[in-house]
Amino acid sequence: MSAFFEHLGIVFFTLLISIALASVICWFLLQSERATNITVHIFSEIYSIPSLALFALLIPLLGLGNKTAIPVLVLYNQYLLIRNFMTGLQNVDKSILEAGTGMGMSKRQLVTRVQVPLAMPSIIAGIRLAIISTTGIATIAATINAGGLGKILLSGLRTMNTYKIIWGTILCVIIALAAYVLLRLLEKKTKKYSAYNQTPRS
Amino acid sequence: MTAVEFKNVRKQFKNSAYPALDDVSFGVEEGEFVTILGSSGCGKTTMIKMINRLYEPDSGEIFLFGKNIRDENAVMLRRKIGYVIQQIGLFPHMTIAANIATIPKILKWDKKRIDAETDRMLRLVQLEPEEFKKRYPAQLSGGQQQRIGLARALIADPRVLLLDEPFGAIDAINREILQNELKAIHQKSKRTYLFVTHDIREALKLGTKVIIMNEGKILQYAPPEEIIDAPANEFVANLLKTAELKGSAQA
Repeated sequence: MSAFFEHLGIVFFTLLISIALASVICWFLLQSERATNITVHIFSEIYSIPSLALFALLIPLLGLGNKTAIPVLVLYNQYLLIRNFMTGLQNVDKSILEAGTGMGMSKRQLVTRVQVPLAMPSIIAGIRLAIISTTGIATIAATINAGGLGKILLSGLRTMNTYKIIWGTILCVIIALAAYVLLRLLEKKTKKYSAYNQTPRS
Repeated sequence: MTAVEFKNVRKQFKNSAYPALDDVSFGVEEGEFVTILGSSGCGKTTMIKMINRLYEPDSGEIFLFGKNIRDENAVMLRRKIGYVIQQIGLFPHMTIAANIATIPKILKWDKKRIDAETDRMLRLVQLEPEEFKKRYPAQLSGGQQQRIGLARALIADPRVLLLDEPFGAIDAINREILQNELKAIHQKSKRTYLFVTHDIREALKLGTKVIIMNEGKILQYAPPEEIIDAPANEFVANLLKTAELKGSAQA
């Protein structure tokens, strides 16, 4: 059971740092669509590097355990989060932004009061993907001593203990499924809330 | 008092062969309802978007009640100017009441004042507050939405109101009604309105003065009667002919 909570801890911490970092990056990317495309492209390349290779690459720099595992997981999440956050923010109708700017909303007011609420379904979808992806990749972090459910899976593999492998897998699936269901509900709720967007009447 | 003054304003957009505004100078007295008429691409929208600094001129100066608008923070300047656009741009995730109260909330009015003024604005644009306050923009017709756009722009009682083809996407019957209401609101408020349109009948009906533009230049700036009686040049005369207004004093 301790491995389960260890795993939850890794996912939770990674997510917290990932969202904070992605939000800051997105704030700057709002200035330019070009910079957004380039940034998303760079992170998509990073996302395609196998996790084991990236762990191995960073161990000499950051050492074994969580110190390497969490930065790598955060790095992977940036692609999922930034892509979804920016899609949501950029899809807000230009005329709405023009009206807001024209009536005297500052850039910060426009982002927090208009763009973010309207982008919420897309933002939550990004977070949902990030949780699922982190839950999976974090198991591989056990190979560099970061703990979590990967530990059970690895020792199960080493000792040919099917029981352990199945348990480890089930617990992983529980985390991912719980996150999926919860955030899907939240996503639907925010969608309903901004659904008025989609059905104009004339 | 001169509400808005342009002095030798020039603006040319990148990738454009000719200037959107070509050395434009004119003044608008406080309380006037100036309609700005021209075909698309003539620079009329560029002109009013410079007043609230959505665009900056390449050269020349713009004054608002005698003060150069460059000397003020753009965001602060915009809060004193009402702005209504053709696409309306209501915030779809906010109720009608929240939409109208956008600027008062930013200006931190107290709640009582916001509620009272929101109701007053809804009545001003002929919508029953109790019926509409809690609805969302998409539950309203196009004409009703633009009434909210107008209420949102008027709530902080701006001394200048900019309207960029506000009724351009509204059906003929409702446009007529909205025009009459806007005219009545202007007459009661004595504020300065600048209204962009490409509809000559609308320009002549609403304006106390009309600016006719073509290719970044002002061709004529005069009261509607004078434009009909004495078109400044052939372009204006032809424009009147297309609307079959020549000789008839009333639009």
